[in-house]
Amino acid sequence: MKQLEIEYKNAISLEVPDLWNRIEAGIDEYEATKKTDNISYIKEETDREKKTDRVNGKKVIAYIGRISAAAACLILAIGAFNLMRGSKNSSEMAASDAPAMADYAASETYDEAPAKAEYAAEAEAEEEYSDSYTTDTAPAQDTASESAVEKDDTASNKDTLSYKNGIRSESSAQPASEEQVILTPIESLMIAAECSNVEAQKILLRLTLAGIDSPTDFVPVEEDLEAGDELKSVEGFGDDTISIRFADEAGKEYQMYCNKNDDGTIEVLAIIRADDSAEMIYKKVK
Amino acid sequence: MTEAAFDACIQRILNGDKNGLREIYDAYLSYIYQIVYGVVGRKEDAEDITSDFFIKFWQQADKYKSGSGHKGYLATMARNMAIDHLRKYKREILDSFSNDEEEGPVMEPAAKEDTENEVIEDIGIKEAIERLNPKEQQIINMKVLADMTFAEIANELKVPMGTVTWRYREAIKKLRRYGYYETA
Repeated sequence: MKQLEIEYKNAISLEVPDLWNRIEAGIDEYEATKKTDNISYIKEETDREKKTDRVNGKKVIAYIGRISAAAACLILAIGAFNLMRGSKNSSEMAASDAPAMADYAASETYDEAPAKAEYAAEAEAEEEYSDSYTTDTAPAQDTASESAVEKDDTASNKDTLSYKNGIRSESSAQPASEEQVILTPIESLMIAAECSNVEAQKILLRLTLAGIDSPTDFVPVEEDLEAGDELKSVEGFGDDTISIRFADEAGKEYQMYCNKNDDGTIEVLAIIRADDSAEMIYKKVK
Repeated sequence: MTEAAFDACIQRILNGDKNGLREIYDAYLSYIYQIVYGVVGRKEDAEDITSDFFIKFWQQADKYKSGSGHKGYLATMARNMAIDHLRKYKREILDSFSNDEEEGPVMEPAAKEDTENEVIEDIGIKEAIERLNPKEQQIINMKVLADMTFAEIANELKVPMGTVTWRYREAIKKLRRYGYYETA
């Protein structure tokens, strides 16, 4: 009697050929493919990195190009403005006599006639600026600085600046008591549309004049801070008053209360610190 | 081969040492070949699949979990590869089993009651197996060489388990007449 299972398995085992050479060849082929795949992968990665570098290089070049173009525009604008201002000054100099200017400088009193002439020139420049607000606003800042006319307060004349279209702010963080800030319709629109930081930086240099360094991140908000009676007593403050929050260079947050005029301008009523102190740093004059 | 020795071979394979695989090959070539042959039933196919088995084992050595019983692991892997091959290239055999269902179980009496225990010829096991019909050969191969259960065979061949057991019993009866008995 023969055991089926044992006999059959033994018989099959005897006919098993030596397969090692085939197996070894298969393994070698597999390892070679694996290495090739790795090399291909590394090559692909390297190519991709090179491509990325090239793209980045192009981006940097494009970026530098844009900056150069912007700088060129800025230089041209400053030059044009200075040229225009120089011709105005020369006509003013002809119109007014030297002793009067000397007296003005000595007494530091407000000379209304030249101021009006200058005001008109700057208004014209401002209008031009407003129409092309996307260009750098440094000329506008220059206008503000250079058109600063010292008023009656001679002790603090370095801290006080006046702006042509009624904007007059303090450059220190001290509350302005006799100033008024009105933003142009374009500026107002940009702020209301949650403008970018760059745009805000350009437009709101004026707020810098109110003592806020590099205002940024303008976001219209619905919820107002409680500013107490002091805020509510600001002239013009009412149900239609809108609130815009922003931050300065140091990250401090502010709340700006404004009214929108019929002509699209925004009239800033007050600016308070958006913290527990709710300190009022700007307030429209009654 | 002990579990520890097998684990050591796996480590060598993972380190790229072919001698680790060679030791497993020497120890289990016949075992793997039998299982594969049991499923596919053809020498050429069995050789191809056995070669592929060891190459695949080299590639996937990191998937082996130590302590899980390496012999069972090898058997399952070999059987699965053979069954995959069968599914791909041996549809005709499976189809022939499917036809059985339509025709009903084929009753092929191996011998009459009074002669079934009589040894009629003393021949080698291979020759005896070859004298079975192909369907019986496949079931004997799967059961004896590949250690598959009747349920597994029925599942793979897509036939009722009753048909599988019937054919197996018939094959055993035939083999008995050549002096080969099922291990108790």
